[in-house]
Amino acid sequence: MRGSSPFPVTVFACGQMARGDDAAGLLAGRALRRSCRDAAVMYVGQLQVTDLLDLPKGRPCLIVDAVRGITPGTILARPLRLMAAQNPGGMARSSHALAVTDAVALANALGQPVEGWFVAIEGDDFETPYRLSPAVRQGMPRLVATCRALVAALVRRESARRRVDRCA
Amino acid sequence: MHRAAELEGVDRYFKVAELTRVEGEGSLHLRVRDGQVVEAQLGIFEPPRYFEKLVVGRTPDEVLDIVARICGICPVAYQMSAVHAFEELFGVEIDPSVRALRRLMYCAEWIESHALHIYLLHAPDFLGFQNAVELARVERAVIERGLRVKRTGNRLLSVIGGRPIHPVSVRVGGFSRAPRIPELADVRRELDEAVEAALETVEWVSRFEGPEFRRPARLVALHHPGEYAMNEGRITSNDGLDLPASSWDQAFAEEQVAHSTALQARGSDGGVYLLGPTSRITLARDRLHPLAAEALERSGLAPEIEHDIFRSIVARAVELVHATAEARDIIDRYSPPDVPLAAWTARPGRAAWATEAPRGLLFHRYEVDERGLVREAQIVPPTSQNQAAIEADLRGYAPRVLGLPHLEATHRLELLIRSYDPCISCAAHFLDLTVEAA
Repeated sequence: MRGSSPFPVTVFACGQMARGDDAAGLLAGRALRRSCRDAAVMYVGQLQVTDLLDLPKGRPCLIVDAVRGITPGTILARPLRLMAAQNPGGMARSSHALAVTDAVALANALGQPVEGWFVAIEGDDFETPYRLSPAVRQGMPRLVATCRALVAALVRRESARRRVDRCA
Repeated sequence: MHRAAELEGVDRYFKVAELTRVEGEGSLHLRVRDGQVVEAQLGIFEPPRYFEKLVVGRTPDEVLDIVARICGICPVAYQMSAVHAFEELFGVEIDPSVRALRRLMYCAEWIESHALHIYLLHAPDFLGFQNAVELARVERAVIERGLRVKRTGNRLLSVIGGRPIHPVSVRVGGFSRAPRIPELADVRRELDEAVEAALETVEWVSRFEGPEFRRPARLVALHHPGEYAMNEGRITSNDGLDLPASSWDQAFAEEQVAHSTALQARGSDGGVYLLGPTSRITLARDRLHPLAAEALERSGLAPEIEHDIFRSIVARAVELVHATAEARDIIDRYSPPDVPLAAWTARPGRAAWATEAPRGLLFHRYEVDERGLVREAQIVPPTSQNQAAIEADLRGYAPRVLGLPHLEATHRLELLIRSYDPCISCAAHFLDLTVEAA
């Protein structure tokens, strides 16, 4: 049994199992839940801004998803702070669902600065139900390893920050 | 940038196009010559989604799970129209508590859908913001209020339907599982705040100053003698239509248009008609929850709602009050059904019903064979019925904005389109409007 982490990182696992490579985020979340005690995994399907607003103040997070890309199987990792900054207008388009950058930007605007990373794998086939494309299947271990490394880095940073706070 | 006077004798094209990750794909094409709109098309180019074929050969309960997938915002509406159609055909008598629970479920969907549209999609247009993020930076408390209300709707739907999107508990004859009273306690407390927030929403949007576009419109909505119609009632209109919920196809028909992969619906005379909060408020305001009726009265905007589509945001806010207040009442009276799932036997025939989705009347018709399997299906979502009205209103409204600068004209036309809360596939997205001079 895993012990509880002193500095858990919330992992938002996004996607749909029935939409081919879109399942990658959920499967990565499942792997992290089994193997990473610092990851508090939430399966959210489509990330909502309220998911971010519900984060305990200051808790970092990882948003794991699949994206349409040029080279299937490629792993992308972007700091959320950078993503929100690069999308200052946000939500230029009408939609019933916010894109991740819009949700992060909106949470920031509402006084919940979201710290952490967006991690994704570029998908190939978003049509075939319950089956990953070969490129994404091959890339899954790297996706999980990237997530695990980022969780560890966020935990180290949080730990260091608290040490500094205690000394201050 | 050109002024309209500089463009005499040439065509101006207004175009709207969008692609997004999960929802519909729609476009607007508007051609103007010498100040007159010569073409107004709401194009829907998303590939057909074949739901009417996907349900063929399926059992009624399978259909309920499949049609919920048509929309992430209004899955309950699809389940409700389908389940009532089958139960009507099979002669299923449901427990009164099941009936109340289904109404509660619909309230949840109205709450989340209306809150989303008012706060995140529509209000920024009236207040001079590009989007809700900009609005949140200036009016943080306002957006937080909207998100709280929306979350209450999502939570309510989770308790009844098992999850906030694409619920899984609805079955022919009732529910696979009905919630126990303690499970509703938390969301009942949230509803007290949600009712207050909804009342504040009406006051807020009633103060919005926006463009005007008064025109006569044929309004169609369900009407029930004892309640604000959601799951039951007769199809009525402001020009005297009065039909059973199962008989939509006696007065309306779908037709193919070249610029859309979605069928358009029109009246049997070929005329356009409008569905949704505007129509419901106008045709059934005497059945609103007292709190909603008072809010509407205080706004003083009932006549404007009837004639001016730009005031649909007020109608939606009044319905937000209705849905939150009625949800609270239903929970206060709720006792779990003795039999959450009534037994039923399939019989062949025509199963048809209409309910009130957040965006308006949603009609389903199924031909069922002797084994209880669907042989043929027809699903007519509100946006496909509103398409022709949107085009007619664009045609009527566009001449008023042609003299405005490009950005302002763009803003006004987008505002008009958003007023219908369109949902193509069933979901619609209207994005960057560009004006080109030929």
